[in-house]
Amino acid sequence: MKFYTYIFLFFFSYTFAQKGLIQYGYIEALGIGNAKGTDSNAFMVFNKEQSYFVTAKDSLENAFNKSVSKTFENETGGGAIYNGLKVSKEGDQVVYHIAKKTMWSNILYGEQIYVKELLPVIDWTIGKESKKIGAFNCVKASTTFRGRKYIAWFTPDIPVPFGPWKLQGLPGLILEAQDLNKNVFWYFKNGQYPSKTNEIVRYMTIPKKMNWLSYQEFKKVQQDEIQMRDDKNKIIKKEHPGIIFNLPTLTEMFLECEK
Amino acid sequence: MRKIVNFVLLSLFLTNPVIIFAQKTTISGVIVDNQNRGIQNASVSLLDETDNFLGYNFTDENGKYSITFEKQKNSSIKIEISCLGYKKITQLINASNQTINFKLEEKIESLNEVIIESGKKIKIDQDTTYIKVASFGNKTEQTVEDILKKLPGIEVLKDGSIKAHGKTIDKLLIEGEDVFDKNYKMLSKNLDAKVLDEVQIIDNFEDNPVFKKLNNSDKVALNLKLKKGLKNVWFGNATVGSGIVSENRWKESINLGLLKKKIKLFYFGDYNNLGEKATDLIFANVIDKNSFGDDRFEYKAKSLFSIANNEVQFFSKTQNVFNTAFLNSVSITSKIKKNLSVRGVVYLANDKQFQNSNSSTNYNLDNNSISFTEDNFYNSNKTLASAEIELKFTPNDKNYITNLLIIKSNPNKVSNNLLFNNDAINQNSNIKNYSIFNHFNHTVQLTEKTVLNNYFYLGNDKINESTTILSPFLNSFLGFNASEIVNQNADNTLFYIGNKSKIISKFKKFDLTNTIQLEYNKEQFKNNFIANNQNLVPYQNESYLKVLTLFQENTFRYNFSKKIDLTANLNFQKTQFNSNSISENLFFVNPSFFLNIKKTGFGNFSLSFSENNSLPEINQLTSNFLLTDYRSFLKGTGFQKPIKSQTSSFSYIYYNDVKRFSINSSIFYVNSKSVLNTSSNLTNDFNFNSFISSRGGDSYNFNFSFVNYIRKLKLASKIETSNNWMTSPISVNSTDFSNSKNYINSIKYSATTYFKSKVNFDFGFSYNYFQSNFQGIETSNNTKDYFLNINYKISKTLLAESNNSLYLVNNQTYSFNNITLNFTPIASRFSFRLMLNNLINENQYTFISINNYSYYQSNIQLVPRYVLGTVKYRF
Repeated sequence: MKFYTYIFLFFFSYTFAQKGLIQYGYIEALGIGNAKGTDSNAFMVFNKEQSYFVTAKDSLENAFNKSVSKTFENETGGGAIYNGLKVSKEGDQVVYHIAKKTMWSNILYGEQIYVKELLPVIDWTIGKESKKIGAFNCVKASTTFRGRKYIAWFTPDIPVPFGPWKLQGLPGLILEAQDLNKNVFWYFKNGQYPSKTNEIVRYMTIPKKMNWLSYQEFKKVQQDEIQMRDDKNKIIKKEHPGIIFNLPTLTEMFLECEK
Repeated sequence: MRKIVNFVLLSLFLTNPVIIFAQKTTISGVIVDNQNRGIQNASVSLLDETDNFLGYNFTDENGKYSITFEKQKNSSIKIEISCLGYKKITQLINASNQTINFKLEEKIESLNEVIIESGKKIKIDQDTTYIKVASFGNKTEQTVEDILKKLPGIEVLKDGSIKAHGKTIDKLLIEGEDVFDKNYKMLSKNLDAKVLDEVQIIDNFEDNPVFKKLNNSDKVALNLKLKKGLKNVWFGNATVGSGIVSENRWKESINLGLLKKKIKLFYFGDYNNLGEKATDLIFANVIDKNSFGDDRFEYKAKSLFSIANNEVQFFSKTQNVFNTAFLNSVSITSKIKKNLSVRGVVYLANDKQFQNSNSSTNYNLDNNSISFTEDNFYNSNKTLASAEIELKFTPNDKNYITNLLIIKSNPNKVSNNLLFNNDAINQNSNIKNYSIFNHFNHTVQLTEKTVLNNYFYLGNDKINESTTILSPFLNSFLGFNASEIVNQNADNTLFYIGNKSKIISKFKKFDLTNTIQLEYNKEQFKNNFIANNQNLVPYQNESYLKVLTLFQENTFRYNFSKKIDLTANLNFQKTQFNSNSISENLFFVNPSFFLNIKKTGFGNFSLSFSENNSLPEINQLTSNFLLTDYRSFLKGTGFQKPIKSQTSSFSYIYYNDVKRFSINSSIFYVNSKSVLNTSSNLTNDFNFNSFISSRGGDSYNFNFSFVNYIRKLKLASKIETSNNWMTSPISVNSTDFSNSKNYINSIKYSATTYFKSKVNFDFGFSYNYFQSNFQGIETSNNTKDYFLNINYKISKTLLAESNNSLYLVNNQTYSFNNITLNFTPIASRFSFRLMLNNLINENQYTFISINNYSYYQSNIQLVPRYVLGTVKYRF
């Protein structure tokens, strides 16, 4: 049965042929802000039914960026050291299917975590400001979503409700988005519609031994990670006495940081 | 089911007030295509006359839409329907509840927009980690050093040097400026902690902007950012402290700073008798050899005569050092022009130290045993004055030129009037030392991936030593009257000059450095030995050493992958060696390699091997006996062969976050193929040591530590052990060398609590064991110590810390108890501190050292109990 579903989906996405491709840059500066963080390539392919977004993907980055070590500072304290970019073979992906009202996603956090959830409804406030990104007229919208306040610039010129990562639901494609302190920042590089790209608007696959987590289960995983970090700090402190650590916060660790 | 009920209840609750209080308008309808089929996912937006969004939605699978919005004053609004592949429709409609349907016409879409090419990125280059200070310390910190001790990733070693991210830092910058260079301890030990805002760790630090382009530095630096409001004003503090109970202790200090865009200035003045030494803050000389960065060579002449101060390294300085320290320093950096800056430091440090101790020594040799006692009254007055000036010039972005000139004067007077087996011996040493070092560096970028560095250096170091000894034993040995004063005057000078050029190339997978260096080194070691107005020629020397060396060195670092890299280094050395009429032409190769495997699933591994050939130093090449302390003579040897040793090491580090433990272990093996060994001839009153070329010993080291955190107990603990097995050939009162075997073992346990209460603990113990075997005699010794620190946060402004330690040494116990109270009123310029040192008043420590053939016991006076109160005023 599953097999047929895949066959069906394959045809489904193929027969609908007309697809768009948007390439983004994604800067992640969690706990640092001001977009001082690693800069990864990202792209989104979409058709009228579905979008597929991916970043932190091995094949998108060149060898140098993957291995160069960078350290970023913040304005109010703290910082982060990156030993190269985070990448994995499949990347950090988000799939959004409108009719199914479902979102599938995965992130690499030590190991891959897979989440399947009911479409999160984002309550956007569309503002009066507008700007041009390239030839596109963009309108500013803002919202609070999973612990962060976001600003997004969407273009009614491309009337699809998609956007980078899990940001979606505006009357136009989101070309640029950030949270207030630019702890995360997606910026538009280029776009094509229709696009002849080989990338397909695909579904996500999950390795056999892994399970889809619900968003609630994912939140529990986040709490476990915090606890683990805190314990690790105590171990480091034992090796370098005299250090006093602050408890790591969700905001500094994850994009989604809802308590 | 329950969820559904909740949902219904919730939606009722939410929608009811809306129905009551707001006027809502709903517009709905169907969007179809030419064949009247519903279009799915078409966007429908409602806008007011100024194009503000009133509401929006997407059509469902049947093409239906429905939008509810708050009613506007205006009666007409704009509806926009758009869908990919169809023409957009915009229409004015009445703002009232209605159903309105649309038919969309198909259209061929073509959108193509390029702003940034896909591979390109927004450029952000930062190599630093910021750590906000307020979030780490507990406000009891007095100096920058106290803060640094508490920051993650930063360690302050016992001698005040700083490590960050596991590496000794190269520099301590202030507001991005290098003011103190290698003498950063002056800054970290003196600058007031309260002025600090942030500390940045700069990984891959590179001062040289041309080298920085290659991005292969592995140096680390710290940058101190000061609080806002300190720019363009004079700031600083004054501290006054005085002993309140029983002892005369004091601490007075002044800090002054000025930070302007073009000039940065610091003044530190300090006067205290708490045990820390002022001259310790200054580096004697720096030798830095760096394959991928700047080098620095500062050589020192050898001094001859030494008088021991008998401090115990075992304890902290405040527990056993009787010293009065004085420090005055001014340091300035200034930007003369946009591309030219100058840095200058002038300092004067002085230490006056009195240290009393008595000791007894036994040499257990198979034929006879020798024993004696000493009562030492050590007294020294050491001064170090220095000026250094550095110019940094950046003519363009491809060139960087620096020159650093250092001048030092270091007069010391040391005396020790001691009782040797109840006989009085006076020894006075007056040492004058002058040094000049100059470093000129020019770095130029040849191509995008290649950099050429030229380093020209020269230096001159002079030591003039004048020693007088009144010793009945020395006089009887020399055959003079018991009251005769013996003079030994030594004049040692060193001059060196050299040039080192290197080309550093960076390729995709590997880095390469090719170096050529030529160095000339001239050294003279001369002493007179005068007694009874006669020069005693058998104890006089005039040695010289001239060495001309050509080095050729190649370093190759290959990055196999993100996880594996290998560095190999080959150093060819061609040396012309002239010493006391012996002339040699030598050639050797020093290879080394280093393999690094990082971040595998089961830990990090590293493996290294190196072989090192080196030449003897001038004090090992003297032809006659010299007096090196009041009861020891030392003689050199003629040059025979280079000194050669091999070193291998292996380390393994593993972190397991899930199970909350880490393992750190290393094995280290040194094999000395050829050494200059000392052969000793001990008599009741004297030691005669002479250097002899021999095969060396070997040494195995094994270290292991295990750290874990037990969540349930809120307890982090560390268990560590270090072991050393050493075999070394020793010759004492014998013509042959025989092997001495030593084994040293230490086991330590320490734990820290993380209770949520106001009180937390730090406790542990350590056990040290020593065993030696020489000529069939086995000796062993052990010590134990325990410690308990209690941290008590009484209130927001009052903090108490109690440090207690108990030492069990040779069936004796010593206990040290200190209490510190800090009172920092909120929003006051004053802060107060009370230090209770050595509460139990331990006044003497017995130190025992056993080695291969000797037993040494020493009683050392400890700093008695005192209470010191200090008041600090900040401005």
